[in-house]
Amino acid sequence: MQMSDPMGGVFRGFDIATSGLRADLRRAEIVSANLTNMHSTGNAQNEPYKRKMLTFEEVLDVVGADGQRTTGVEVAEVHEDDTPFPTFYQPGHPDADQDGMVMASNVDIFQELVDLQIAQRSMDANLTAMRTYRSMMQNTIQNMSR
Amino acid sequence: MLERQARKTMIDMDRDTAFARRMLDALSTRSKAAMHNIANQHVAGFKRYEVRFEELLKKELDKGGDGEAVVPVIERDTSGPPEANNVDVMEELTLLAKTQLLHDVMSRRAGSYFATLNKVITGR
Repeated sequence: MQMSDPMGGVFRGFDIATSGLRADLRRAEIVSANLTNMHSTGNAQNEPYKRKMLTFEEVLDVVGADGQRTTGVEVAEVHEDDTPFPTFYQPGHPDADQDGMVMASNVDIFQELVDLQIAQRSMDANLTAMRTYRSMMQNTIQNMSR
Repeated sequence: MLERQARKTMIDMDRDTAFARRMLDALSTRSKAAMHNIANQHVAGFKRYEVRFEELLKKELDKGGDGEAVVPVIERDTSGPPEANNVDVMEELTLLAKTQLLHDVMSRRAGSYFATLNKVITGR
């Protein structure tokens, strides 16, 4: 008799949630990279730090090089934010041009804090899903062995 | 002859267990679909998956069939604008919790069959 489960075996559930957690962790890492570099300055010749952004993509039953099938989500690409750099007036600053203008990084701290919060919420959701799935499997083992 | 006799019993254990097994298949696929949806909640343009089984079974039974050939179907829910992600995390978590409960019920049902068999074999 054929098992009708195109989503994969019992442990696939954990792998799916893990892929979600991994993607969220990458997102949190990017946020912290942005926050760390937010005070870097520059000028027309030497660009200040550009804010990094992530995009995710769906992974559906992809067979990897090791023959393992994966389902879930992964980081598709790390982009750079092309929003123009804000400038401020500070003559004497090492990065100031002849008019005394300095380019600052285009990281917006509030945007980053929001992103961090979103990553955390998303992680919570994936963890809850994983916990639910685990207790589902545990209950099955218990019910079957009674 | 034995088989005919077995069919006369009030509770058809084999059929019940077979049904529980099929439900468990559908439910575990559904839980994985929900987890997949949750993992993809931030993918642009992602459309959620849903697993349909009970309604298909009911439709088949209403038509007078025995429903033996009905299998769980994984479908993409394409509602919403094409570029928008249509995953609602709260909804998926709720679906996962419901699926968990139903899975528990079904595994109990399947388990009780084996418990009964055990009782018959060992006599206690």
